[in-house]
Amino acid sequence: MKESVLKKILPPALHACLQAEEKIFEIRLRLNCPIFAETAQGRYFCSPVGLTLNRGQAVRASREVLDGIFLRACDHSVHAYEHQIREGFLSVGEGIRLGLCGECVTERGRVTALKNLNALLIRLPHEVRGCASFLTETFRSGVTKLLILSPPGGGKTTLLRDVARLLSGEGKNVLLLDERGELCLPGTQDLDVLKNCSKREGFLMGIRAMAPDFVLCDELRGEEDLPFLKEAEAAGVGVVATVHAGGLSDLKKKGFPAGYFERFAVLSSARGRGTVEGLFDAGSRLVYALQ
Amino acid sequence: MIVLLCACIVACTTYCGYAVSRTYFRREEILGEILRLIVRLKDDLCFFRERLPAALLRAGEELGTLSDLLGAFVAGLEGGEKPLPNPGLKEEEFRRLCELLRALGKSDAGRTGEILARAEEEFSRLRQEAERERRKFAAMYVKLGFTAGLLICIVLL
Repeated sequence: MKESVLKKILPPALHACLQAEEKIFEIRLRLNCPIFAETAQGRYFCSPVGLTLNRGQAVRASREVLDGIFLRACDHSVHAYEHQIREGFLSVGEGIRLGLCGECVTERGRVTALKNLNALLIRLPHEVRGCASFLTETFRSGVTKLLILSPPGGGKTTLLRDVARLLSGEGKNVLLLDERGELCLPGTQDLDVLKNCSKREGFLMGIRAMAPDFVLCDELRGEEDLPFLKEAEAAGVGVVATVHAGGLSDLKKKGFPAGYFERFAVLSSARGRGTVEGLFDAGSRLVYALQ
Repeated sequence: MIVLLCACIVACTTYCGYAVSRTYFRREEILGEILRLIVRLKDDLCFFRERLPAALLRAGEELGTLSDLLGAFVAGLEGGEKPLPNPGLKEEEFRRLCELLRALGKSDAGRTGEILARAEEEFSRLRQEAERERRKFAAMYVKLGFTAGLLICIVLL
């Protein structure tokens, strides 16, 4: 399925080049720069003969290639995706997300459009079944508020997906707030999924309408999301969320109040994506460490 | 025999005149359909935020004379641009229609609405022109065909 989406959005030569590699995490295209893919084995450049480690052989991303991928990704219908484009991404389907970079058009301090794209990041979702199993006991012991933190590309979303599967398997009613259409992969069952919905709307609508035991959402931003977290707490609903942060010390800078979350799962890419650095309690004490 | 031959000649030339006059009716009809397409696209793209290929294909199913053109345009979006079939417009009108189609889907709903509003004005004007030309020339070509037939008969006799 992921294949068909990539085939639809990528130029045929680039698609053919990437076909040989199975585990691609992301593909980066920067204007007039070599195109490369981050794979499980590391960074490979795209060349006319396939993936290579030789940067000199790499194909460069032209303006036509960037614009072509962008237009195909939004099905030649920019008007249908303008709210996503303003946020700097495009949800392509099958959990694939296209990050956009270009010149922002602003009006009264708000981004209204993006023009002259100069970089694209195609992020491909992965499901690592069982990667959240170290949290089973945590949830069984009654913990209802968990924050997963790591720098970008650390495996937060993959872990969150598995947490959803884990909680659903434990018989909990799980509401997944899939703000960017990348969390819920096809074939995922036993979950209530609110797609392409902001956290504000999602928390309010979801808690009222679906009476979940847990709400799962990706990428909290800090203080601006606090009212929704408090709303969930007041309703007695558990929250599992992710946040971009290098470590626990970064949370204060983002304005997260001490004591809201009961557990913090810290990830990194130290020994590959999704390395669990540890599970900490509200007092920053280590309660689980990878053996 | 001669009367029959003359009748045939007049019928043929009148039919030729009629065929030429039909192109004026057809052009006016196509421009009317383009206007209906534009009104439809304003709703589909700017209000309902539907995707361009789906909106064009559905419109093509309802607007018979434009279905080949819209089908070819959508196929071109997916598999590389190809020459589009002219449904029967003047070259300049067809060029403007192609420009309009190529401008769609590349900007936000507000800008798309502006593009469609401008196109609506332009094609309304073209349709009025086409209507004026049809009134002026369509009947004339039928008469011209008939007269030409009579002339040929007189010369032959």
